[in-house]
Formats: sequence, structure tokens, C-alpha cells
Amino acid sequence: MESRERKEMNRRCFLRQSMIGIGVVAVGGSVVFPYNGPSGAFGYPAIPNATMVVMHNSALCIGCRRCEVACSTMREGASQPSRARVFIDRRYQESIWTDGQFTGETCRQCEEAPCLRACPAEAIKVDEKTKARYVDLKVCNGLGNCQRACPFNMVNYFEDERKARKCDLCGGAPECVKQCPATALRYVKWDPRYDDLD
Amino acid sequence: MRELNGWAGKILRINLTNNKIEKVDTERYIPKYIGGLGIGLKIMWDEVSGDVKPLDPENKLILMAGPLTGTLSPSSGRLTAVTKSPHTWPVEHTTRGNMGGHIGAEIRFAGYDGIIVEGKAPKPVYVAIHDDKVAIRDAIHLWGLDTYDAQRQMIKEMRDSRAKAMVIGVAGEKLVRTAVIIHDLKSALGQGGFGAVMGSKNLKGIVVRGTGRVKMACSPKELLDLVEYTKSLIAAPLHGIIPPPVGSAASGYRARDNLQWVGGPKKISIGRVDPKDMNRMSLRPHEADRRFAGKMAAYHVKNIGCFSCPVACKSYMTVPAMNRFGIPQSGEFVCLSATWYSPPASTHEATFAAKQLIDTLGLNPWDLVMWVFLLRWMHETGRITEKEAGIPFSDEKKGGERFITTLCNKIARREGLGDIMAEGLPRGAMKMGVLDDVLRGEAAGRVMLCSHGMWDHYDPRSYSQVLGLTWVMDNRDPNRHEYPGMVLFSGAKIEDIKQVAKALYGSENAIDPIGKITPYHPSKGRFAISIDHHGVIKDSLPTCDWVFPVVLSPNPERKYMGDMSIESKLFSAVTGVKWSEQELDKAAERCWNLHRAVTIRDWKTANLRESHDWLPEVYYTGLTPTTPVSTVVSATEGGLDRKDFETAKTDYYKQRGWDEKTGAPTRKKLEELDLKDVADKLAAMKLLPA
Repeated sequence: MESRERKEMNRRCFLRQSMIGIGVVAVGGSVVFPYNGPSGAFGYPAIPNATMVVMHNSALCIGCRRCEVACSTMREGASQPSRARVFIDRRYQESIWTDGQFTGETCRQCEEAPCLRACPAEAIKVDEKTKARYVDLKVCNGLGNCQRACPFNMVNYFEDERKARKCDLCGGAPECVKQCPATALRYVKWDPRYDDLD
Repeated sequence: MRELNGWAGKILRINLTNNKIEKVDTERYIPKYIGGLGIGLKIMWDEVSGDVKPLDPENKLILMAGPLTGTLSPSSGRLTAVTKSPHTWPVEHTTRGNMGGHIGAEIRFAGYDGIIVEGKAPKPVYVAIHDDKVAIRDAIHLWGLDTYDAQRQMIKEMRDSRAKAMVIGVAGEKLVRTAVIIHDLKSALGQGGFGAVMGSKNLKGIVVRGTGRVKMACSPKELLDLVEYTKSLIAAPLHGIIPPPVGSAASGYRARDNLQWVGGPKKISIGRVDPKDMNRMSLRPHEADRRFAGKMAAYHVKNIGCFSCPVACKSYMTVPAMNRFGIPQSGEFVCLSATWYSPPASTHEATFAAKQLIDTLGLNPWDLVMWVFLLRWMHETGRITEKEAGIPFSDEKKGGERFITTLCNKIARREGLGDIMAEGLPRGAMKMGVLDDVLRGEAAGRVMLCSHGMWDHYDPRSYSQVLGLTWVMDNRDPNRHEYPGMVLFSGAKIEDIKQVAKALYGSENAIDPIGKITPYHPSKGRFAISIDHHGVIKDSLPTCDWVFPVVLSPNPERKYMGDMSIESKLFSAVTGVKWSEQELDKAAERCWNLHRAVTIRDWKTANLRESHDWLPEVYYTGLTPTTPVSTVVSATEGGLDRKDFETAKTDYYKQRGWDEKTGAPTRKKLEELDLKDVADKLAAMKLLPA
């Protein structure tokens, strides 16, 4: 049911996006999107690496989902795990019956930031302090490209608001880490290797 | 319906007879009945008459979350159930259950405060809830599946892996009187036979997925500050505040030097955990370390927490040897449900297999633990033979795996002798003609039955008249842990505990050391009333019994004092109903009086003093309680004094404003609590004391 809706949404977004693309080409002839290419190539600005990141430890996680609750409570004003930016629940079923090694999903603040590069509106920006990639809600126009671009499905797209949300490290003091009772979530120095971790 | 703070605003009513699905407005019940248990009792009072039998289609299975479920408030992800119980004995009266896990929160996120299941489906069905879409689906293919497989299949059919399910096992389908409802690995609606009620409605289970939100009245920052304050005071499970070796061997606080989690892919060192370290508080308990002197700790993978619970009392275990018996190898291990079976020649495999069997079949260990003792005794004294019973008693000397698998399967499927045992211990023992021996404590030389046909869980001779009073006034095993928590599991010195008791209940006499009880003192009545009221609050908000109320804190600077007003603070913050501790207590008293009124109606007599408020003979003797659960249990010499306990009852009624002769609430009391309609209805039934 949900997946069908999403597919429809994708089709709609794709159409809309191509319309914008055609429009832009028609008006300006050739327009260069600033982040539309590999970093540094063709003079596109490189994205500075994040300094910190939230990491999840499967062995310590107790599956209480306080991180999801804290994230949605503090950032959305009401408890709603489906609107969190950290996910334990998404892969809860696959481990609870077998080994209990919960796969918690957190944003890796990727070096290449596919979400950021996918946004034609440049709504995804780099935080000055933590260098976290965050969504500027004033700019976000709800295309949802970032959600589709993220290889880890860590962008939470709110269909009713038509806006995307992603982990912005709460400006340097992540609420999920503060509420974790098992030190399963840690706020640690960013390292390019985290990109490759499963 | 406007969006409320705390409450979702509607209760789902599902009629399985005519497939009608309705949404009831919650606002007609709140804030008067708080939520959870309070609303459940009110619905029972309004909609189910005293003549309805538990397994009739007219009985209702009421599953209620409360205003705190799903919020950041610690250990609040719980669900309370109310129904007419087939388990209780001698009268099948209304009772309650409470369950952890994630499903309570999921129901809230789907937009409901609870679910009322009524009627009876013509063939097996299950209910699927996805936010506001509710469907009653065919469950022929699920009927007969074990609880783990059934849940996985239902979640698969939801096509959303984030759904949560609660189901009955074979025991519930076969209407075993003590059957439970299982959610996840072992969260269970246990004592009370909720599984049988669900089975009688031909309902295999309920699967829920919610994407909505739970709103709160205060700002997120305010709630966060309150939650941080609460977390700084809450102890390890069972009010454990002092870790061994200083604390007692039964202390719920286990973290100490050299403690490890060794059952997982990699060993994890836990070591000492500072009570002030909020980011390591879930590493304090270690249930496998607390049981059997830590002999099962080799399988402990990690601690597991219910939804939004930072305490994490469950021990996740993987025992690969289970594959030999065709039993799932991973399970959660807590308290009696994990350790109910320990054969004389103990192999821990048999203990774990027994645990996994009851969870997958949906059986109740609190009943089975007595059956094992009773059957062994009957076999030893020649009352039954191995051949007659069809149970391999001799196997117990070889490890007991075959014994316990046969026994569990026989009961769950109602085969042979299992058909009698499925009636629950008191009814089954009556059929076998040994009930008198059980009640006098002569069977197996041990205490088995307490009031309401349930197992002796915290003996009043170990834990004083306070536990005696909560036992007889409740409608089931009360399962309130303040008293045993303070004197046994906290690990604190009795002098410190007595000071806490003095501050809370007015006298040091309120609490006695285990097995050394002193004559009744009115402060004991106050203590019992406080347990009842905080019990109602616990089941109505709901919060967890192993954590709330915060009677003790691990903070020596506070002289280990907790804070009893935390529930009211959390309630006010989330719902915006500004209630003080006293006002919430008043609401709890209202619910407890309603509970008593429901009981009077079910018993069809106002004189509960002689009938309902009764302890078996054995508690007036000095027979030593021998239980597999608590390591430190002893009986006061000579047991309870009959006259003293009657004094205790009289004083309890007096403090409650109830009729001292019958133990029934008076009209004056009911009207004071804004329950005039209840008083009128009772008067019409001639069940109100003059």
C-alpha cells in the first residue's frame, strides 16, 4: 500500500522535476548546477567533510527506541518515530527473532553527500560548525530527490508537508545520543571509512 | 475529533460478530478515569454485566494504552488489559493485565488510546490496523501456528516490517484457562487468562502499524528536563539501588567489576556503572546473572528494553542447543517466566527450553510452576503413575527436557491429563481431588496457592500484612513490587529503608525485615493503600512496575529517598491537566473504588470480607515458603496471626472509608469520589451496604 503510493509520488516528482529541467534549459541555454558533479571536478566546489558523526553499535543497542522518540520529540515537537532521523525500528524485525544485534541506522554525513548533490534547489547545505549536511526548510521545495539519492535511505520525506528532513547533528549536541541509555549511539569524529560500513 | 495532548482521543471498538468497527470518543472518560486501567474498568462497568461468563461472546477484551504511552517518559511503552477472567478462582471476576514491548506505543501512533474487542468471529480471524484503516482478516492459515511464526507471518502480510503484533499460541486457541497473549519474544498479557478470552473470540491476534504522533501539552524542553530528573532518581529494575557485593544477592542492580555480556558474537565488558551515568543506565541489570547464581549468564547476549525504557531488565539469550528440540534458539529471559522449571538434575537447557515452550505455545508459567511441584508430589506418593499420566517423570533425573516438552504440549493442546491441567491449578486440583492438600500446604510440603487461584508470589508471611492486604483486596496476584523491592531487591540496609518508610507512611513500623513481621500497625494499612493507588496509576498512565513508583533512588545524598510525585508531574506535563500528587491519587482512589464495585457485582455479594478477601489456611502456619524465584524468602514463625490479620483488614476498610463489616464501599465514599451513578447502580442491585 505504502510502496505503491511512494512509486506514484516518485513518478509525479520525476515529471515535475523534468519540467523544471526543461524550463531551465529553455530559458538559460546551459545552466550549471553548482553541486552537480564530482567534487572539485570542472570547478564545482568540493563539499567540506563533516567533523562529527553519530555512530550506532549493534552489540550494545537494547532496542528501546528512545533515540527515535527523543529525535522526533525534540525536533518535531511530538513523539513520532516515523518522523525521526535515526532508525532502529526499520530493521528491528530482522534481528529480534535471530540474534538481537539491532541494526540502527544513522546518517553517515557522507563525503560525497549524494543528497546534497541531488537537490536542484540547493536546499541541503553544510552546517558551519559541525559541517553536517542539513535541509534548509525555507528553501526545500519537496522534490524528494535527496531521499532517492541517499544510498542508505536516511532522508525522511514528509509527504504531508512536502519537505525533507535529515540528521543535522542537532547543531553539535545530538538528542538521540543524549537519550541513549546504553551508549549504543555515540557522537564521534567523522572518518571517511564510516561511509563503507554496512 | 480535536487532537488532545497525551490522549489520542479515540478508542477503537471492533465487533467480531457483525464486523462493525467504531471509534469511541475518549473524552467522555478523561481525565476522570486517567487512562489504561481506569478507562478499562469504566467500560467493563458500563458494558459488561456481572452475569457474563469469561468465554462468552458478550465478554469484552479491553486493551488500553494511557496518556504517557509512546512519549519520552521513561518505561512508559506499556499496555493494560481488562477483561472478565477465566483464570481467577473461585469466581471468574474482572481482572487486569499489563504488558511491555512496543505494541502499546504502536497503537498510540496509529491514533488510538485502546482497542475494545467484542463478539465472536464465526471462524478464525486476525485484526490488522494501519493508522485509520482497520481490517478483519482471515486467519485460517495462522491457526495452530506458534506465537513467533504467527507474529512474523502477520507482519509480513502487513507489508511493513515496522508493524507490531500480539497473538495467542496454541494454548489460547484451545481455551486453556491460563493462556496468555504474547507480543514480540516474551512480552505477555499474563495472569488472568487473556489468551483464552482472545481465543474464545476466534481472534488469533492483532497487528498494528502506526505512523502518527503523540502530542504533549508542555514544550519539548520542559518534558526533557522532567525526564532527566526522573532518570536521575530511578533505580535498576525492582528498585535495585545498590549493586553487589555490597547489596543483596537478589539486587536488581548487577553492574560491577568484571561483569560481562558473553553470549553474543563478541564479549562486552560492562564493569562498574555509576548510578549517575544516564548513558549507561541500561547496563545496570543482568537478569541471567541474578538467577541460578549466574549459571545461565554464559548465554546472555545483551539487555533488552521495552519501548522508551532506559532500564532494560530483559536479558536476551541465545542457546544454540535449542535447535535439538526444534525450539527457537533466541528468547528473552526475565524473572519467573525464565526460571519456572528447574529439574532436580538441572541442565540449563531444560530450563531454557521450558521458557521458550511457554512463550511459543502461549502458556502461563505462574500456573505451570505449581503444576510441576504438584505432579511430582502426586507421582512420588503414588497418586498417579507415569503410564496413566503419560508424562515421563523418570526423565527428570536425566535432565528433564523430554518431561517438560511433553508436559507443556499436553497442557497447551489439552491432551490426556493436560485437559485437566489446562483448567488451572485450583480447578484442576479439585478435579484430581487434591485441592484440600494444596490449600493446607500439605501437597509437596510447599505453599502453592494464594488468593484468586494464583501462585504464591511474595508470601505475606515474608512480606508482612502489607502484602497480605494487597493480595486479598486485588483481583489477581497484585504483582506490585514496592515492598519486596525495598526489603529484598534494593540491596539497601534495613535501617535506611525504615527511614524511607517513615517519611512516606508515617512510621518505621510500616516495613519489616523479611520473615520477621511485627504486629499490625496503621502505617501498614497506609502502605497497602499507597501500593493500591500507585498500582492504579502505574496501570493507567501506564508505567512499569519494576521502576515506578520511585520509592527509592540510588542517591545516598537523598538518603535513598525517591520521589512519589513523579507520576503526577509527568501526567501534568504531557496532558496539560494540572494535577498535583494528591489529585492524581484521588483519581486513583476513584478507579480503585470502581474496581471494588465491579468485583462486588461479579461476586454478587456486598460481603467481600468473608469471601473475596480471603487467604488460604497455609498462611496462618509456619510452613516455609520454598519458591524457585526469590533467593531470600522465609516465613514468620507460626505464620500470620488470624486475629491480627482481621484487625488489619478492618483498619484497611476504615482508612478507605468502606463498610468495616463487609468491606464494601459506602454510598458516602462513592459520592465523595464522584461515583454517584455507581452507587445508584449498586443500590439497585441491593449490593450497597446500608
